Amino acid sequence: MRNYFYDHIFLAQLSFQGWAFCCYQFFVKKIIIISLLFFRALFGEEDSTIVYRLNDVVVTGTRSPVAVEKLSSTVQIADSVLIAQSNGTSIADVLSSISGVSLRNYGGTAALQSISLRGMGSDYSLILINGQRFTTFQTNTVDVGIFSLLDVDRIEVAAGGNSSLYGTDAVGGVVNIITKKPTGKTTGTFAGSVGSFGMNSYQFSGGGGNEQMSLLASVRNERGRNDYEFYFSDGINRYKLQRMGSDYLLSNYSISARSMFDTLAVSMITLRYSNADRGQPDAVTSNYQNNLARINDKDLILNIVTDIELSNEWTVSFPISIYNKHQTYRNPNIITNGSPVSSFYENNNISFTPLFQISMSSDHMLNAGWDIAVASISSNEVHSARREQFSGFISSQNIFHIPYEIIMYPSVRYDSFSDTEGALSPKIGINIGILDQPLLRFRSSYGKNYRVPTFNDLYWIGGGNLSLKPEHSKNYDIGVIAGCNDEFASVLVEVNYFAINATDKIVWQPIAGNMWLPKNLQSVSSKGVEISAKVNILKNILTIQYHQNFVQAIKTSSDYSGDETENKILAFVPQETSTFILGSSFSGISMNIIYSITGYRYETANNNPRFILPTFDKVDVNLSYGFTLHSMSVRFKIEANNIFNNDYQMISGYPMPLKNYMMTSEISFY
Amino acid sequence: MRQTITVLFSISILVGCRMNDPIAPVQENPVVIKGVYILNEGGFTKSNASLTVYVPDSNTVYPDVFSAANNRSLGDVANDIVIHNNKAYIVVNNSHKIEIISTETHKSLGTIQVPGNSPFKIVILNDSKGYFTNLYKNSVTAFNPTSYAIIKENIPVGLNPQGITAANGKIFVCNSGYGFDSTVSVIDPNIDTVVATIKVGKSPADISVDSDGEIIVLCNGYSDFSNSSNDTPGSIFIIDPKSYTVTSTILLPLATYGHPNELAISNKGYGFTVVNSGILKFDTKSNSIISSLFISKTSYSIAVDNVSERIYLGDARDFASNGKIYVYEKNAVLKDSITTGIIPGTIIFKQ
Repeated sequence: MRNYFYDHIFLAQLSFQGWAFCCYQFFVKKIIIISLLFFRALFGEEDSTIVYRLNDVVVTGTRSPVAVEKLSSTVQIADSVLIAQSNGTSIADVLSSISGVSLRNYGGTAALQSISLRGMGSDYSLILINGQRFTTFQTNTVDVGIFSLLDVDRIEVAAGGNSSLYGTDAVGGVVNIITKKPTGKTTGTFAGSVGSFGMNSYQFSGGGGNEQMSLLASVRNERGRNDYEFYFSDGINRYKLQRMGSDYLLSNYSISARSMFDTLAVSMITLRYSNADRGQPDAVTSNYQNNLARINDKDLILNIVTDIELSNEWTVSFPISIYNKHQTYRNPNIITNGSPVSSFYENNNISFTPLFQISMSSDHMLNAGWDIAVASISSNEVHSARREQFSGFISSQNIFHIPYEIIMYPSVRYDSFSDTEGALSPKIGINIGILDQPLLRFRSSYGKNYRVPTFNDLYWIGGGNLSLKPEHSKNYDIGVIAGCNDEFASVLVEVNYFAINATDKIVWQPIAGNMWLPKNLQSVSSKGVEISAKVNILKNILTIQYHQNFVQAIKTSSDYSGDETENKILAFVPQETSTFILGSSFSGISMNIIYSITGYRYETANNNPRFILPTFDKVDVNLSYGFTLHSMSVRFKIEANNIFNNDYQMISGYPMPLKNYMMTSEISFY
Repeated sequence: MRQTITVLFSISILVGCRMNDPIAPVQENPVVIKGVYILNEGGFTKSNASLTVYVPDSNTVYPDVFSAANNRSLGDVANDIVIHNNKAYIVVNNSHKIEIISTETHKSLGTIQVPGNSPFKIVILNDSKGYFTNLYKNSVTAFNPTSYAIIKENIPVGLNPQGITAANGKIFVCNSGYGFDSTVSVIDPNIDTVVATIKVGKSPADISVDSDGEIIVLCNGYSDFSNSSNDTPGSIFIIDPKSYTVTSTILLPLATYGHPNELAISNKGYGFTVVNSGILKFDTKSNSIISSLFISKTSYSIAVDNVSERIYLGDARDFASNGKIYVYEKNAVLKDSITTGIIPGTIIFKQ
């Protein structure tokens, strides 16, 4: 890691001026923090809702529950605390606060938002819902901006390669969205929000039942004009314009039923439906806008899971997932083949993923399972196709005490596909516990990962290439996790170094006759350091979450003789991102300040310094107050985003909103 | 407590440490007496179009004279450029504008904003009349090249008009329809109305005037991406600008040539088009093929210098990084290559 810092350009580009300027900004913002502390000192009363634990348990890292500090690579968690601390209503708003995640937003609420993990593109992250694949085979990219937080319990982000557990696409990492489960308690929550640019929403969720049979249902509707103001400069004049044709209507419905047959067998069935209808404005390239394009996504997901505890040693799980995604896109402004563009894409996926867990002793555990899936696409842009998948995987957790606690995580998975080449994905991980209190553990992992060609790559009408093979990568990471608890504060710090070397990257290339064809062409190397810290001072007098990522994602191959993009940084991948969340909670009042910085991004593959998206920073804040009256609790929350009115873009041509607000009222019965 | 303070201090240091944004180097802006202007489209929605100047006499390349002279980007997707009276008229399609610059200083002299239109190809008839096609509006706009005023915003023509040229005092417009049209519209500049429509091959896209004053139209042919057996071949149509009749046709069979693109006409009696495997040369007097593979290299754009007779091939490479221009002697021997901006789409000569 030392060599990494000294050999690469990061520190070489640091300057005293930049440091001084940033410190100035930082310390100005610290005045806000000091004010918060003062406020807290005046009304000081402890609130126990925010406590950082050193032993959060996650399931995404191994497919079974393991304490986060004992894994062989990092898993970041967006739990109910972080979700409450964040602004916004979609999982994109929460994911942007997680270490290692880089968000690409094409223009405010409901615009396309995709995530990039560890410098890899948005199609190198696998998105799961309750451990089941949500990423379709058509594009490998999920629009996280339209995924509501309505029934989300927490999100786990396992950065780094995880094909040995989850198969294709888990190259940059895996995002597992874990939904709320029926508990049997009788509850009801109604919430309504109003915000800038005509935003308004309402949601209801309620549940009940008993220990044997319980139900949870949720409904949410959100709409908005999204006609925010932004700046556009053509080099001569700077215009203040208003976004056009970006209105949206998002509807989400979910219902879950949980049944416990006896204490050893539990079944849960969940049905989720969402409908996202929104305008899809073009990139802003002049002071004129005429946006008529619209996109609609309808997602229907049925999950049925049965968990059976056969004995103290044996547990089995039988998840079945049925997923239908129907997407349409219409753009009257683009006429091809004599008529306006009007496309539809119908994706279907059925999967069955039985998992067997065997606890051979308290120190040795084995997971084994298989993944049987059938996926298909029907579209007027893509040839109809069907993909059958047969996969098997096995992983284990082995603890040794020699004399430190050493945990080994070997795992391997083989995937075969009916329409394209399969892959074998082994991985080995290790975690070494040096100290328990204060906590100090080292960890490392190495694995092979892959990504199969998408349906678009293989079957796009007039461009698909049936001879494509999977992309492969080798992922390495090494890290340290340290923490301490005392009466003054609890601190948890993680530092990770990672390297991803990907080969056979599929790139669409021009061929004769102005046609384009995807080819296994490029190699990419992504290396970086992730630093995260969580601090809780004097039992919530002040909480701090801090993430800083340095990434250098480089194209290492030459596509042709004299290729000037060789060894250049990938376009739109920031080399530096950081997030700083300050929170305080007392007497039912919570306040959070979210400060984020995204470094400059090259817009061109040859890294022309004339064409960059400059560094931007942004401050969001929220203030909430809640109280309880008998069996009812009431909460009000006010959110303000981009309070310093910064003009910025994540993707060129797609300006983001200036200062904006949202206010939410929530009443819960229990 | 000391540990926590150390962590907090370290965090404040890290937050303060930020990488500086790169600074673009200052570019040179030459005074060009004679040279080759290469218009680089730039990436779609990236607003990084540029204007490269190559001076063959000194073998010097100036990567982007527009931004060097005006300290701003040219805009988004620059599709065409013509020179008239020491002014260059540059069509910037996705910025919805025509940028006018001096060919001596490269300073901007004015901008014709056409919001709602999609300007694509341009022709200057005289000091008081110019025309450009609107690709997605099925129309042509008339403007004044001296005052930069719009004269008539939308003259209706056929589907997806692309190439445009002037001959015999009339304006001729290729209605490509991307394969769904096969006509050339004739506009009378006196009344700015279509006065005739000429039937040609499918997808007429490029148009020029040869040394005999005849109009040469390149038709791409129809492409059916879902079923290539429905494709129709490309062709070259020769039109008499006085009678508006097709006088000759050169058929380009699909199996041999694929779908031809781009047209370059010399005043020495020959022309070129880009086919599957390279450059096809044809005779504009006899209207016949001279060489079916004159240069065995395909290209994104092509131009021929009327004085030196050198052939310039624009290579867009991966459409994401800087392109190349390959310069060939008139006998098809490669002479030189130069680096351009992103997607060199149009090449013209200042003699």
